[in-house]
Amino acid sequence: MNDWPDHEQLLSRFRDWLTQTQAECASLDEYSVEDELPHEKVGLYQLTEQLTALRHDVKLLTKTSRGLEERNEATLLSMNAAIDQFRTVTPQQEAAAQEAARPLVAAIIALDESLVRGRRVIEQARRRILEDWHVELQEVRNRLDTLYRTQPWWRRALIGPWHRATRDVYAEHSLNTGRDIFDSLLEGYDLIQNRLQRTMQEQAIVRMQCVAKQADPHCMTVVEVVNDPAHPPGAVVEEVRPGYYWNENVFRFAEVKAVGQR
Amino acid sequence: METILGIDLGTTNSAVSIIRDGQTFVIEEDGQQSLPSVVGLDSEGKLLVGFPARNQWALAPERTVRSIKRKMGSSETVQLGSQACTPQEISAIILRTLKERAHRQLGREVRKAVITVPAFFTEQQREATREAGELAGLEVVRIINEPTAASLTYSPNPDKLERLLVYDLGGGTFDVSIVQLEQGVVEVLSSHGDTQLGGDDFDELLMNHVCDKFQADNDVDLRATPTAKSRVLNAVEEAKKQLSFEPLANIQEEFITEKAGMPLHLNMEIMRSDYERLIEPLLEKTLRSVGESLSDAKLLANQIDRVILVGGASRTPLVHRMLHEQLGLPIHTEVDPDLCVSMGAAIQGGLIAGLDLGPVLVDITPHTLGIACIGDLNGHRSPFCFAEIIDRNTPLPAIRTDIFSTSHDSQTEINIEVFQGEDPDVRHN
Repeated sequence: MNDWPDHEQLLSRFRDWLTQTQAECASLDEYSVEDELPHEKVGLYQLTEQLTALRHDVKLLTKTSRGLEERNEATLLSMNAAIDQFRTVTPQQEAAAQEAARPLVAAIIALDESLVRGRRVIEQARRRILEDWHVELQEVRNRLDTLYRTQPWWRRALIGPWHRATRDVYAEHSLNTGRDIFDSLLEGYDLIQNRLQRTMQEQAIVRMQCVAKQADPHCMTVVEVVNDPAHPPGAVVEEVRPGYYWNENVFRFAEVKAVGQR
Repeated sequence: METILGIDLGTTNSAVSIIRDGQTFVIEEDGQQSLPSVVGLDSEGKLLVGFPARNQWALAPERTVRSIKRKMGSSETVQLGSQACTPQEISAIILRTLKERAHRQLGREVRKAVITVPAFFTEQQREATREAGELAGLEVVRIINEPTAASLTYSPNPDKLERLLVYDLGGGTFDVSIVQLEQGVVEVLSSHGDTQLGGDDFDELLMNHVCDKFQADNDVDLRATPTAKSRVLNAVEEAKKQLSFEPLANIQEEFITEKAGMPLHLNMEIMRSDYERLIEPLLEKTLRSVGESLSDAKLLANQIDRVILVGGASRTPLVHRMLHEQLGLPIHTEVDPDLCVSMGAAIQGGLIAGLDLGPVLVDITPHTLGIACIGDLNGHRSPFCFAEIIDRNTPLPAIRTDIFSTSHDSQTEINIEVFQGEDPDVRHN
């Protein structure tokens, strides 16, 4: 079965269309197609010629477009590579800057850690020394009181004012001596720590607060699990080694003790 | 060029590398080049991979899986929360995380990968690794042996036959392999190892040494207090690194503990020689494996072209020295021993993609650097003795320190002459 229209009929229609177009062009005032185009009889031969030329053009175009397509693909790959490179330049520079700063940050962190530890020890020492001091004074005072009470009445009357003055001196010393020195020492220590804190703030270094919080695996390493019914499971009960953020990223994981699952 | 990921799927840590502009790059995230090979679920059932999973191991072991590589290829399943998972599924989570890391860094998805496995892995274990890659959405273009990958970083396209000894001393495991390369064909001739020996043992030995010494001086065992133990462990890890470059390291930890209310400080000097004496028996074990590996490959040491060190613990100078003494060959550590396996996998990927790649480029000292000093030269006391300070093939920049003493009492001046070369007599350098 052939559905193709009759060739002669098709050519006749095409010829009519060409004539009509030519007429339309001619009717466009001063512009005359006839002046430019030689009168040629449109026949099957000419048409085949034109179609062959057209086919050749299409082939050429296809070839060119294939070439373009290949070139586009290559360009796309190079662009991807360029984008990769572009993407990596800034992060690489940033990474290099961060890498260079890391030892300094680590040093600041180590200093902060040491100062916090040192303060804790001084506070403990203050508490212990003042308490011990107080206990010792109390003991001496008790011994003096006992000694005073065991004296005969006439001697008590004689040394009474001296005994009262001694008690006052002890009372005064038990309240103030040592405490002032320690308080002053701790105040100075506070100033050092505050200065470091300011530097840390400027450099976006933040010490993590872990105790009494739930163990967060994104910033804390649980190094020991304890059984403590006073706290809920997973709660941090002690900070073994403090953790730090730098520029809102974890710089060092905190090492903590947490309550195990029940 | 198509990008192919090079993945080192390790027992403890994993890493991913790519080839860019003909060079190998390790893809890092948050300043971390390695990803702990640990997978877990948090208390709300969210998936954790890497550091967060590792961090919760002690608290929630039932929700955390580590060292899954040891189970690859077995039919055993592991419990992750309420779910039973195959080793492939767990490994797939790690591989997917590495793939996503690459995606974030490159800004586009990469689907192809070369994955490394230990040389001793069976076909079943290799197939399981390939399956894990596919589960992670990767097209595994090749599975290669870890020593093969390491050797590719030094010699991707050898013209003539080359035989390499790859000495891999990681954190927890040790293995040694003899690899033969010829015209693009890489063959592992033999492989030996110890799955229970690694750098962590060195830390443990040094920590015990420090704690024993402290106990002898102060009658307090620092290992009994978790806080003190953790501080000592961190301090000895740092000291161990320092001892790779310096003859002595100071361990100084203030207020480490207290005794009857009196604060005690840890202030100790560790000589490299002391540390080396501690770890020598362990290294002797590794040398026995080296001997066995050579004998299995039916080769003599002089038939090996080069020795490559892999794994962080192989940075220890004593490892270089002992291997050099046993094999009489130069030891290569130019490429970062922690990352050379993943870099080698990326090189393999590059070769598959049709790239013409050379070895990983690292600036090194081509000759040994040292100074002239008075010492024993051919059995005689000589002022022309060459004291080696920086070994040849050391990656740059490099800093090394050594201790020298003056030649006579009350000496006020010294003249330091620097030489490069390999001759023990400086006049020939």
